[in-house]
Amino acid sequence: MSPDTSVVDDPTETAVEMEQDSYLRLRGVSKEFPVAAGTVTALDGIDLSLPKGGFGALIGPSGCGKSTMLRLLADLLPPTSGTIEINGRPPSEARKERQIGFVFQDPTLLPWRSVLDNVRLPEQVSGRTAGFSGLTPMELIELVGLAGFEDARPSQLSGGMRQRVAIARALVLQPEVLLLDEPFGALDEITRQRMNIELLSIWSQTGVTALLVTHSIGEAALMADTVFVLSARPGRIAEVVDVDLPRPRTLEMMNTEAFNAAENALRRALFGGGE
Amino acid sequence: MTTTWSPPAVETEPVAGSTEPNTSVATTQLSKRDLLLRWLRGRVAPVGTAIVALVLWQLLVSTGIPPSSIASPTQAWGAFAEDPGKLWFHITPTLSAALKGFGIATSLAILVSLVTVVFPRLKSPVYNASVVTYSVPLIALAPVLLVWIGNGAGLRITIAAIAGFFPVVVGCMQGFSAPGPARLELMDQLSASRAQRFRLLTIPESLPFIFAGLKVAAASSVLGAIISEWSGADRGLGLAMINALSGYKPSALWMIIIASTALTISIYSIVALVERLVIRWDYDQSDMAADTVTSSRDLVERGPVLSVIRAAAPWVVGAVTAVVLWILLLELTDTPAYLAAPPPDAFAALLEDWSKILDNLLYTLVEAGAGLLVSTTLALTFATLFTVVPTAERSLMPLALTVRSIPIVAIAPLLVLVAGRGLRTAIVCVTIVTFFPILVLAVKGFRSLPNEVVELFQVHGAGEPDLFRYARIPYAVPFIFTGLRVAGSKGVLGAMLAEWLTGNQGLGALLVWAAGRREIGLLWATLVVATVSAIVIFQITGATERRITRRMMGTTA
Ligand SMILES: Nc1ncnc2c1ncn2[C@@H]1O[C@H](COP(=O)(O)OP(=O)(O)OP(=O)(O)O)[C@@H](O)[C@H]1O
Ligand SMILES: [Mg+2]
Repeated sequence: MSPDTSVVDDPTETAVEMEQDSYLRLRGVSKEFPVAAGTVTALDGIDLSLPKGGFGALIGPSGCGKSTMLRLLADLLPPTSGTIEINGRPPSEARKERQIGFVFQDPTLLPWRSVLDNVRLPEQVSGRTAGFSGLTPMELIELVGLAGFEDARPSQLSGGMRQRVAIARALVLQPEVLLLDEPFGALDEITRQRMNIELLSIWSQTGVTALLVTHSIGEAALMADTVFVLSARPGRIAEVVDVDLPRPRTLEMMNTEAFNAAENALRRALFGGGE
Repeated sequence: MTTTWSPPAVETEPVAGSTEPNTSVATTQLSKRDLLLRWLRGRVAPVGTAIVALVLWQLLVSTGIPPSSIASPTQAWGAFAEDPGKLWFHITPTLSAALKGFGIATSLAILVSLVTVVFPRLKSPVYNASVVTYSVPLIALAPVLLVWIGNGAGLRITIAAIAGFFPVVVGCMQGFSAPGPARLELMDQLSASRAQRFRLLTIPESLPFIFAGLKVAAASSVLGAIISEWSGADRGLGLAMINALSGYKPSALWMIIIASTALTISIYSIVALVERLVIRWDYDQSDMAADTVTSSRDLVERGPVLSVIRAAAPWVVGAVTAVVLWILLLELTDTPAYLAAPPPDAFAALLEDWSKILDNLLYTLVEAGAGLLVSTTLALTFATLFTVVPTAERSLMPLALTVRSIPIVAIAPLLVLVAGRGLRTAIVCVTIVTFFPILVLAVKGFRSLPNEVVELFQVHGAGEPDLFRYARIPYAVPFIFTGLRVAGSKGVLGAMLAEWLTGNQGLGALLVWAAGRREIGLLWATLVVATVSAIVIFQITGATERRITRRMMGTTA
């Protein structure tokens, strides 16, 4: 592995390194689900890699296996075949060491807990706090713009506010990897774009490696360095599109040539050549 | 709980400095006092309705039209004021037996349900065994249990405990399996241990269900205590009822029935108050939890294939085990055969008197069926009225919701007093007992259609009749079947209670007859037949409900 990532165990079994500094890596990953009439292949032969601190996006038609891929990375599901590595180690270890933050499609807050207690839940479960370098739960709540709401219950919050709580919760143990499954899918366009910028600033402040599942071409282009376009079932990587926009990204960049080029490339990859 | 309302723009404003409108949302955290006030405010409508009913009742009796068996509120009050100490004399043993029974039932039920959490395979046997405790006619327990426990407080506590056991088991088991896949996955993602999962997720999530069970159980325990006193106690509300009935003292009987009902509602309300203070988050399933507890819906999933065998197997195993334990117990305790019929005696009685038992069973079933027919008709009429006239619903529904959770069968002596000892008393009793669950679920069913559907009909200019015909009724069918399922077993047990009091005909009357003549074999045989019938009805109505629901909701395969 590359010297600039802090690899502890060096997996040397592979002859060819796909990319020098890959931090998240899937190699030949397939996932089949048993169903009544045999099996459904959700993912087929996925190769993917993302460098440390990178921002990747997964985009593709509904049912192509995006959520499944995040679940595989988070060790919530085992792959049928292939290998998955997070910093050179299997995801099960990363999960047990609480290096993964996950933002589910639905905020999945516990309604009997206040905002603060929801954000604290991972601390409570793991019995540890983020440590000196990390942000405290209160600071995270501030970071996601919910200062003053720490004692509110989820039922008193709007959909966007709940999703921000879920993001704060995912960050509380200072994870190395942040997996986001359509976190803003339920929001209106304006709120969503504001949340996008907020998330980007959180990402750059924490240096976390992020992988975002989205349905929105614009969101993928605005947020990611690299967009992985999945094809419909079975899910395969149809194309990898690099977005050539400087950081930090702003909403104004959505009017630039480079943004349009990225959007068009994504559209072509998704809809097969049109336009 | 994942509401999908779209957020108003104000609330999604980033909260930096000026957060006046937002913080006001955040600070609506309610204090204990506010919660209490809010809860009390919710009681205003039902209490108001009760007061209006009392006044009407008084006016009606004062016209002199109703028969002398109907006492006015002031007459009932007079019976109380005559000797207030007497009422307390009777309330204390009943209250004590009910509370102790409730405590025992709750502890046992929670313990047993926790065991099923650790050993999920035990879920189905534990549930089935609990159904037996629910199906056994309470009224038959006293003469049978008397043999082992003796005729004292222990007997009444035991019966109160048996009466309260089932709702708590159902509440716990339902609650412990309440966490949905999303929250379970969150716990997976956080690498939570089994214990953490239970403490942080399962317990809070199960509380609404457990409290729903506790409320019903508390009321059921009062009923169990009262019914146990019907057969040979020397104190207690149950005894006072029977005395007032046999001595034809309408005022006294009305007074005792009112006192018993007040006692039941108080205990129910105390548990409800505790629930309010413990569960301080918004949970929209409180109603759903009440439904699942009172109907034990879908608690044990059964596949369509081989469902008959699979459903029957545990019962057969259970029956054989019960018989073996029975013989062992009798052998070990040296119980004389004339007191507790061992299985051979019960079996012999069954063979000898089968036609008598069958006749009476049919009689009971006919009464229950007739009562159910009447109550269903009435309930659907009222449900329609409630749906069309919201004011009617607002003032009467809270009362109906409470009454449906309270076993009101303890008023049976009153029915005997008013309606005499004929067939119709049992039918009236069944009607009253089964009316409320059907009403509540039918109203809920009529209202279960999404707003969009209502709007769709409005857009097309359709009126309420069309809406009922094409949308409300189809939507309500699964709910109504749930109501019928709850009502089915309640109806049979209600019919038996009335029969027991009138001594007319039917399984309940046969029980009195057998107990009075110390025909222990026949007593046991009747008890078993009654229990098995109640279980069978419970299973059949349950299977029908599941099938209908599945067909209507399209959740096949
Ligand atoms: N637990 C499961 N059992 C069986 N099939 C499953 C399971 N989970 C996912 N699938 C199937 O795998 C495929 C991919 O599902 P996945 O949820 O990953 O799609 P997705 O890309 O996230 O879709 P969407 O954009 O709609 O969220 C689908 O065909 C789905 O039916
Ligand atoms: Mg998905």
